[in-house]
Amino acid sequence: MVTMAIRHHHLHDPLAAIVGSKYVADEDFVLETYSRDISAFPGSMPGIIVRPGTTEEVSEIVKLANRTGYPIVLKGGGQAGGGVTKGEPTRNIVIDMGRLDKVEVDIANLKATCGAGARNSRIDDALRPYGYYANTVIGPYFTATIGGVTSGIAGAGFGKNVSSVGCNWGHILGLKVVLPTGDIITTGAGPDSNIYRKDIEFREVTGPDLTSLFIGSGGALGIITEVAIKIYPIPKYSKAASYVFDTMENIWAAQLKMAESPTVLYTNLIMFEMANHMVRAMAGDMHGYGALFMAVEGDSEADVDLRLKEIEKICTGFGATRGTPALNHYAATGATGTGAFVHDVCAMSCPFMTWESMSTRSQSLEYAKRMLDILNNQFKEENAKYRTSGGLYTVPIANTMLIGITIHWDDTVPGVEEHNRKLWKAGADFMLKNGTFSAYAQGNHSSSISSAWSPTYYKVMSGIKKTLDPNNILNPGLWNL
Amino acid sequence: MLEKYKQAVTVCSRCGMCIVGENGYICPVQQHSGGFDPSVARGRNQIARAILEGRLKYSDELMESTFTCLGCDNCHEQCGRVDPRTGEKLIDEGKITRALRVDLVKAGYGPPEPLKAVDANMEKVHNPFGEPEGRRSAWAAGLNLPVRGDTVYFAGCYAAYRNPKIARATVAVLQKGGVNVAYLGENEWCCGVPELWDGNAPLSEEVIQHNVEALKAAGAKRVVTSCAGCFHALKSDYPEIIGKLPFEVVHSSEVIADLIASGKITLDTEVATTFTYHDPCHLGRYEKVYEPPRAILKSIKGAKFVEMPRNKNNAWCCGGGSVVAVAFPDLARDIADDRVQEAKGTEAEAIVSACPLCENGLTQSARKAKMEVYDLSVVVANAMGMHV
Ligand SMILES: Cc1cc2nc3c(=O)[nH]c(=O)nc-3n(C[C@H](O)[C@H](O)[C@H](O)COP(=O)(O)OP(=O)(O)OC[C@H]3O[C@@H](n4cnc5c(N)ncnc54)[C@H](O)[C@@H]3O)c2cc1C
Ligand code: SF4
Ligand code: SF4
Repeated sequence: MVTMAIRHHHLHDPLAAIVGSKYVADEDFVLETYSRDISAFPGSMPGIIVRPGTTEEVSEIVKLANRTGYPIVLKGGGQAGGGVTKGEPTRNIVIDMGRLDKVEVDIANLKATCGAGARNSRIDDALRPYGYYANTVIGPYFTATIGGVTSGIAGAGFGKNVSSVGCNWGHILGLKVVLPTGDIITTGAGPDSNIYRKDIEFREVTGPDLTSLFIGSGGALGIITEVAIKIYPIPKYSKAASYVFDTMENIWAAQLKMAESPTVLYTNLIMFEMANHMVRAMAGDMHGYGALFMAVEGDSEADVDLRLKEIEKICTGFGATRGTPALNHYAATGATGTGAFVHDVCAMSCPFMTWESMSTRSQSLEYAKRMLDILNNQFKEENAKYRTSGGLYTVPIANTMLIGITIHWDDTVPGVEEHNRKLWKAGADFMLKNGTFSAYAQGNHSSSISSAWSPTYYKVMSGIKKTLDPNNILNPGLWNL
Repeated sequence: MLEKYKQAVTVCSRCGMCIVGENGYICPVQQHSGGFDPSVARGRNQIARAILEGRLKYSDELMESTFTCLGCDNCHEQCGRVDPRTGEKLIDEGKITRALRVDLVKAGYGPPEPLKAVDANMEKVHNPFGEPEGRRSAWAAGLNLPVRGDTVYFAGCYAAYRNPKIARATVAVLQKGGVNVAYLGENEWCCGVPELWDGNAPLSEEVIQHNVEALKAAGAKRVVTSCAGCFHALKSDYPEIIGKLPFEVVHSSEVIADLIASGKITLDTEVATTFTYHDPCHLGRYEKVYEPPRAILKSIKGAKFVEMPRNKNNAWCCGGGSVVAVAFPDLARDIADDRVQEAKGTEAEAIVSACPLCENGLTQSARKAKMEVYDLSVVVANAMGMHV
């Protein structure tokens, strides 16, 4: 087996005593690879990396950190777009959660209990033979971890069914969490909770809903080591559709009309501007403002077809034309699905920074236009100079509209990252004032989000942080707590 | 040399799609080591970028880590970073790893000790094992092969020195199919794969030059190899390093599949075995030769063919690639065990590969799992009633 020769961090041996020396690394070149996420935010160099294999090992690491005063920062799949947690650069113990990747399937109780380091695709891989699936994410399906998604993005993220079933928080039955003191707790009915059960069983447990405290917390309040989720049978029929619209107004009107429908028309709906390079490549001769991509699922083909018919009626009513086969394929496997296609799309979209927030439906068009104004007008010259571009996408979620603008660039252009940070800040300031939600609960972005918190909310949160983390050991600085 | 790949490592988007894909985990080394990010392409590209930007220095530990990569190309296969105009992949991790190894060695770090011995052998006797040059053609004893001809069989060091059955079987099958086969005899040198991967660029160029001259002198119009490593080196690395070659390079599985398809040979001696096929990385992912070996196995009378779950472009490496079997034998064995367990999970009784290096790497693990491992050429010869 490969062994690393030089050991220069004095926590190396105590950490090795917990997890085994194979799973501790402190060489500069290893630290470098844990210093950044996929954004242009500046990195933070860790002090040492450790890869625990059990909840108990995580707990021991946290206790060691409390004894020695070294802060802890977490790494799941590294798909954060809001920056890594700064913590104390060169001192942080980075816990890489990747070894906690077991997935236990319990069909009788309709749940999967997943190690926090399990990649989303691996959960479906375990469920597929039984004919079930889990609600996880679309984009970083193969790379992000269930722990990183549950904690690192608002609402525990969203997957291919988001438009019909909402964000993932509702599918979570409970969590196993190592608190910043090293204590282990189970939220929901389960071991180490207020109602003892052998395994995590049920979310709606007597007492305050602790699960929600950790969702979207970015890891400031605890380290999630297990996530129990509800599972669902894979629908028998799945079809996809795409429509190209001439104007932003029409595409908006169609989205809102479909979202208002008393019958749920689709499992997911995503809008992309035609300027998006992937959409452009697939659109062939079709031109227009943007395209809608829809997945429609059901247990009867007639039902799926009926809903597709209604979708067509609404879209064509707003002047749309059916998309090319390539656009339909994208609808089926990319924009609204999970598969190899998404895999490639992600490689092409990263690195990126994103303004991903929500607006009320009624104000969403105006909101999107104002965000686009920042990208396309306020920073027009500088974007051209640094070859930075961006694209709008939207997803109706619950009673709101998710408005996202991803900023893309070419890392080989000198000075581009600094420009992107400036551009990003302008949009972030706008969305924090006008939006209802900002997705990426991570690193640098968490601090900008918390700058918009009300004084009372901040007081409550810092009280909780102080109680749970008296030594400020876990992700210090996250949310400015 | 790394400088050449600056653009590639800079456009690596840190998306991590080289870690997990549709067939689960992608990097065998990550799965069988501590699992830290430097094992995978995402990590190695960040390291390379930091070196090129002057933020990171070479070290023995970095050298050791860089030399664990199998060059299995699975990360390159999965990486979706392409030039949007041409659709071409932008990040060739194998090339980046090789360049990093060259620069490390140039800067005085490595290669790992066992590879220094390989280099010394190569310089002295032109094979990695240190075997006498005079023994290279021993496998051809009694075959009366000509040393000039249109079709030249390039045996490679493994078949020549370690598993002569493969060379004899290949030649016997080709001859039965009416192919006049010549060989280079003692004029054949190692194809250069060890040097291409152990950071010794000057030595690799020397052997490449020699082999190309020898093949030209033999009048080769077509070079046949039964080793996936030699095949990829000759077919793709040689022209990239020294320019266009005056001969075509083919793998024996391609030639044999053609002979079967054209009815020149038939595999009609019953072999009542269930086979699975292990795709050698250098034949499969690197050169996209997936179907001919399968077509061959499917045409054997009485035999049954089953796939392993990870096959073709998703195949798991045997663990022996890019001289890892020499430098880190324990790591190579763990990975081979993993692959054999996958085969064991099917109904196959035997694993067939089309590379002597894979066969060698898998054999020990297979023995533990009570499975057989064969080279394709030997299976074909048996199925033609020949015992080599
Ligand atoms: C290309 C791309 C597409 C995306 N598309 C979607 C999408 O369709 N839907 C969606 O919902 N999201 C999407 N995202 C966002 C992504 O899901 C989040 O960034 C998510 O947090 C990444 O998880 P990770 O495992 O990579 O975490 P990391 O990047 O490693 O960490 C993210 C945050 O989570 C915290 N964290 C990690 N593990 C734990 C743990 N075990 N316990 C507590 N805290 C932890 C870290 O402290 C950090 O703050 C996308 C991201 C990318 C890059
Ligand atoms: S090598 Fe490719 S797949 Fe891996 S992180 Fe870089 S861009 Fe993504
Ligand atoms: S070539 Fe193979 S061993 Fe090397 S980093 Fe890529 S997947 Fe891992």
